[in-house]
Amino acid sequence: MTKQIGQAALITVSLFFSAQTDCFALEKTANSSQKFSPPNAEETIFSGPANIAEVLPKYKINSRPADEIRIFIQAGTPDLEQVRLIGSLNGKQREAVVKAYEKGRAELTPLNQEFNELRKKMSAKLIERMLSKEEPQMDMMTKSDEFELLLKARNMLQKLRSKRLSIWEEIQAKLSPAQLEELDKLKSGELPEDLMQQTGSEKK
Amino acid sequence: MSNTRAPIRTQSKKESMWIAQLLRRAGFGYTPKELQYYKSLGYDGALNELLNPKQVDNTLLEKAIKEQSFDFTNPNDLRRWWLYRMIYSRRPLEEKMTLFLHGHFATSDRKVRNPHAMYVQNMLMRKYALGNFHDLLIAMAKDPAMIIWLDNQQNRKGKPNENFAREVMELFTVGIGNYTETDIKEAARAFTGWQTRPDGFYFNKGQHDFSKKTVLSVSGNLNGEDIVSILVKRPETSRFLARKLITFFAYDNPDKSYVERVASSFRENNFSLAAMLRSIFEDKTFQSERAYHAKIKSPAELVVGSIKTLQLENLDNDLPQLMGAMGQDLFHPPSVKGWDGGESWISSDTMMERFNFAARITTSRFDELLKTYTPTELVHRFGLTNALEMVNYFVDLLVDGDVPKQTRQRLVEYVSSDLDGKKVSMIEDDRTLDAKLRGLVHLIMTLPTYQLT
Repeated sequence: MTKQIGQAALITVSLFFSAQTDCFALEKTANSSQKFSPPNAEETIFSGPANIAEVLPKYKINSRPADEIRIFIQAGTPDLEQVRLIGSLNGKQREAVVKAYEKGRAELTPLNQEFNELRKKMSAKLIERMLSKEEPQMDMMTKSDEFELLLKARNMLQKLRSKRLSIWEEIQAKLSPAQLEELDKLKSGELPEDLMQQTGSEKK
Repeated sequence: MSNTRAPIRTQSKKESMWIAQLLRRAGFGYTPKELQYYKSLGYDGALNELLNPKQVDNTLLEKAIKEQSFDFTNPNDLRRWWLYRMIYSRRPLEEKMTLFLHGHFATSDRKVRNPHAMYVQNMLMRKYALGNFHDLLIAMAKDPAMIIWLDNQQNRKGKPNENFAREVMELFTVGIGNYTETDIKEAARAFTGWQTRPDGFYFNKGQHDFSKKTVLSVSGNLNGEDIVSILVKRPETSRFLARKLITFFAYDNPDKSYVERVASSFRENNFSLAAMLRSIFEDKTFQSERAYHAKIKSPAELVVGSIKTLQLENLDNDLPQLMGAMGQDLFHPPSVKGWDGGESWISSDTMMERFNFAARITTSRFDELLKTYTPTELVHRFGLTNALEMVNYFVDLLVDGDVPKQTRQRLVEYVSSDLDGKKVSMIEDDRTLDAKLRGLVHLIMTLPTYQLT
């Protein structure tokens, strides 16, 4: 089977090659030395135990504009799916929280629609400027009608963010400080105390 | 055991090859430096380190994870967190085994709808990944995500729900054909009252059936822990697990004798998963042509392996979704049976996703390859003076040198022509060289061998 897959893939690769046949000029390479050492790339977490403690893995999550917009509007506020994970919520609280989120969603919907309409009219460059921390200035890069659009969109973004924050404020008021702390613990990945303890058989 | 043990003791070209294979199977591939490090330990030393993860300092990873501020109530962050561990953990077998267990005890957040509970389950799997299977099975039976997933919350005295009892036999231990419907009904009663509440597992005494039960010919006032003990001791369990582990780590359709050797190591070592894995990786058949480049890479192996080998450091937000499109959506296994693996990874859709992934990482979107190895630097530092040497270098790095002569020649032809297709003895300008090297890596990543581990 592995070989069949290999052949299927090989056919695809062959097609890829044949599409490029024109640019494959044949050349016999002289001095085909077989000596090639592994690359001595910059240190990483895999560099071995000697210096491992000094090296942190470099990992960055690249966000697309859509992600950045979402993150900005969300302003770090949890959504219903997250709040309902608080185990100590009683039935009454649960109901009140769901109601508050539903009310908030109803208020957010027209704002979101308006913002999406504006976004459709914006170029990638303009969206980038909308997300920039710098205040927009009328300059060579921005035509006057674009500038107006930019201001409107930035305004709308702020409005959406403020709305999210006010919805969260309302929901927070329905939760106790201990419950908010409980949510923080869940978010940060705190584990139940007994989870990592040794079990009977491990102690043997 | 000794007569089945591979007779490799001294470092040789072959041993290096098997160490590379060990890292692909017992982990997710390697960076060049990591490969160098494990080679310095020799096969036995490398295997010992992989099998004893608690002896390997991983605090740097944990520190880095804290700095990433993942939100464990967010399902997308949860996937990114695990991907991050797969890439950067210095305990690759622990991580790979966690992935195996995620498929074995397949639980999906689609039903559980609690990313934090899924996270706790994942940490439990990691804790027992190389530990005792009996303890692991008890932990899984009491795990809140599992209780929700297999409806044990509804398993009450007088009104038993058989879901968990059925799957614990069919999928987790003895396997289909080795129990009766009566065994399931009786075992279900033993798990009544095993419930979950916000602070974790809860034994609801009032809902537990304390009357006599008979499961697999053992009778008494059996509870859930008794059922686990009965099942783990059955020889069928050792064979069922052995076959599944060999298929996951070594090759598909293993012969009976290999399965029996691995199964007996489980029985003889107090149900130790580490002992089973040792016997898989020390077996002569693991170091044979039958195993070499004989398994289709899972999406996790493909994605994580590529990131490691090319040392990419900039990862797109949607990488877990990309893996999902390739057929492996972490925390969302397709069914209670988990992922079938093997040939099921390949379809016209998933193959296209794999090739798109290769194209994506060799273009500038999140490729760091040429930031680390600038073409001219590469040429000078490693003395790659011609097209063949460049091809050899990347073919070695990416597919362990395993390509047919003809393919290698085609790759050389590709590198030794300029962007207009004119043959040149050496590409002088950086721009063309850059494009050629990216193209070369892309071509190698779409070779059949690159889809194999």
